[in-house]
Amino acid sequence: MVGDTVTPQAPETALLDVRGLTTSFDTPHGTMRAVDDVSLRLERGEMLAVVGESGSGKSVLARSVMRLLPKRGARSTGQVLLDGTDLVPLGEKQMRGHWGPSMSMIFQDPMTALNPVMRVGDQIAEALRAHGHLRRAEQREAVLRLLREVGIPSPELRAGQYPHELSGGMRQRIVIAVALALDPALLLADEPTTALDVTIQAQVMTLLRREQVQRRMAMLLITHDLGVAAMYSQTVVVMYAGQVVESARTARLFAATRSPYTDGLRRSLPSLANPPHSRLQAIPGRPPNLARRVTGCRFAPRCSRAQAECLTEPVPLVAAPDDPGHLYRCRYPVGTPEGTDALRRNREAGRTATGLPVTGELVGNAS
Amino acid sequence: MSVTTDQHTETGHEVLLEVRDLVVEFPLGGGRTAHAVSGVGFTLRRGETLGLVGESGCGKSTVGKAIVQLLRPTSGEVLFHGEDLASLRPKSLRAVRPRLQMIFQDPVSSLNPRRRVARIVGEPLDVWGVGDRQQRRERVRALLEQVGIDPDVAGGRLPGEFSGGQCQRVSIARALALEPELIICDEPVSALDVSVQAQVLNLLEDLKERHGLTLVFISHDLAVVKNVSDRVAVMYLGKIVETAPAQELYEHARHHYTAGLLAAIPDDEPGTGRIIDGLTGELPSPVDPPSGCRFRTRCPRAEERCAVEEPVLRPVGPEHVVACHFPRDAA
Repeated sequence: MVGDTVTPQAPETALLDVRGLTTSFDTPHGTMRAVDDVSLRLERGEMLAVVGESGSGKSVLARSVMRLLPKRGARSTGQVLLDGTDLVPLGEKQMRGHWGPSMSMIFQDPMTALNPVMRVGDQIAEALRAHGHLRRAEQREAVLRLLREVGIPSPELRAGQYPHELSGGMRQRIVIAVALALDPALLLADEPTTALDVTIQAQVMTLLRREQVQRRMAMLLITHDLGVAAMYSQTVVVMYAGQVVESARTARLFAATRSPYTDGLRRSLPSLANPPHSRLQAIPGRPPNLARRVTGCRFAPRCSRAQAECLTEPVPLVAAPDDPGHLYRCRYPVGTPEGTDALRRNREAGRTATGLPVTGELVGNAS
Repeated sequence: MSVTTDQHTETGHEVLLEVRDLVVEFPLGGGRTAHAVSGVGFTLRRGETLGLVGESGCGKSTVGKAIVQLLRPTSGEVLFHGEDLASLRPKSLRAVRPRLQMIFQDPVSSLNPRRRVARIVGEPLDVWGVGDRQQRRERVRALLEQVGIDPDVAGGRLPGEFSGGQCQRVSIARALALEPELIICDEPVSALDVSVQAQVLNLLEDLKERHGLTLVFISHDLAVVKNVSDRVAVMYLGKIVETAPAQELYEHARHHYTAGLLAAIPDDEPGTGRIIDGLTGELPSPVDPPSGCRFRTRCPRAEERCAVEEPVLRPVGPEHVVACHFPRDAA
């Protein structure tokens, strides 16, 4: 496989270096590979966004990196190198030393991430106490400083309140304060703004971005929202059905999209730039069932470019000829002569190799 | 106070729905009251889609429920074909109900998990005794086919066997069963993945065209609202702050809240960590809303007058009204 990592030109010492990570779950229907041979690299001070829809494996990826998988029925193979240490073989006891100072995580729902019967100031203090001993006064000072940093007005008052007394946006700020308490080198954020309103989302993302830059923290952002990824990240990894289908520096990914899935996602989003009642280019069908093994391309049944070999041959992740940091998993990429040709052939035949009708509404039509 | 846009409705299109000075309040005990909706008014012409947009707690869903009388308004009128639904007795209201339908955000929990899909879609027909059994069965088949579900394969299944997108299609088929004139869609695609969201939005547009439906489309997502709406009303803390034709609103937002909402949308334009110059602060409590203009506590332009005098909706262009003492330039 060419270009095994997201940024091969990066220096040797990436803070996070995930190599061939595979996570499977035992289900009544067999073993399901939720994350399938995923590799990525993340430098200090950078934000990498993992984008995908439900079932793409993006959240399982975050939990696999964090080593927060259920004890029974889940297995990870491959390597998760954090500052050179492989976390995959570590047990919970050994991981405790890493959770907090090395890595911490923010979850989607701030209400369930916080203890409902504990004052928020105490929850932040608890995180501070978990590693190292601060005197009471120092601890209180540190809590108030963190609350101020995450933009909580009147921190002295708020520290004494319970989660239910705060708005959703405020709660997420508290969760961020807890996550930042030990100044982690790596912050994982799983859909941190999905439960929030758009104006509050902007505030929280701005806060996360600022803290990430100031602390030279590495941040792995899990999101379904291409707009959020475009706006805040330096690198984007797009996942589909457990696999990486495309990854590149953010500007490049949007300027030269190659994967038909990434392209389809972008086209199916209503855009403020288009007039009302613009026809959306929906991706037909649904993601595959991961319990079933697929030999060929997993997106082929929904892809307007699909050819016969897309169904039978495994598709490797390859690097773009003009940008070794841009990887995609497609034989007939968007914006290339082969891709355009495949699309034309399918259009002439009126259907793809999987029998999907190719009409004017399908993905990738305009390219 | 309600300012409607009747003066602009003499375009020959029949007014299907007119909401006048709608107020919905919830008693909270201890003499306190949540002012969920405080004097909302708008008109809707036949065949039109009105987008109702705002953040959580702005009262948009409450307006939707008050229109179909799932919630009885505290005061105000909901005129459907000129008849005030808010003052109808239950029996007369029941007679109107088939013409008003609602689609909810969570498609899975709005379907009975123990009923088969064909039965769910056919239930309104059974309740209203439409046709005989054979006719109803055929109608259910046609309804399912219309929303892109194969009645032979899916009709006998339970909602739990379907994805969110398919459940929403079933909800839509059910809403269409009695051939309604008006459908209130309350966040119908918010729970769906984007690739499926586009399928459902396209379906709604097709069905609207085919059946000449009139829609109220409630959503927090401005891009989605723009895509489906003819006109858009922006709500903030129980009030409409701005209404305009969809394109006009997005190009020439005059209210500072509308502008702030638009600015907060990440725009698929890869930045280098551009910091959004968005709204500061959070939504005040609807129990004790700010005096004067309710948006003033977050408004970059607020002055003393805004705390004292409540701005009323006033026309600033064709079908464009805004409630602000100091609206943004028309630029």
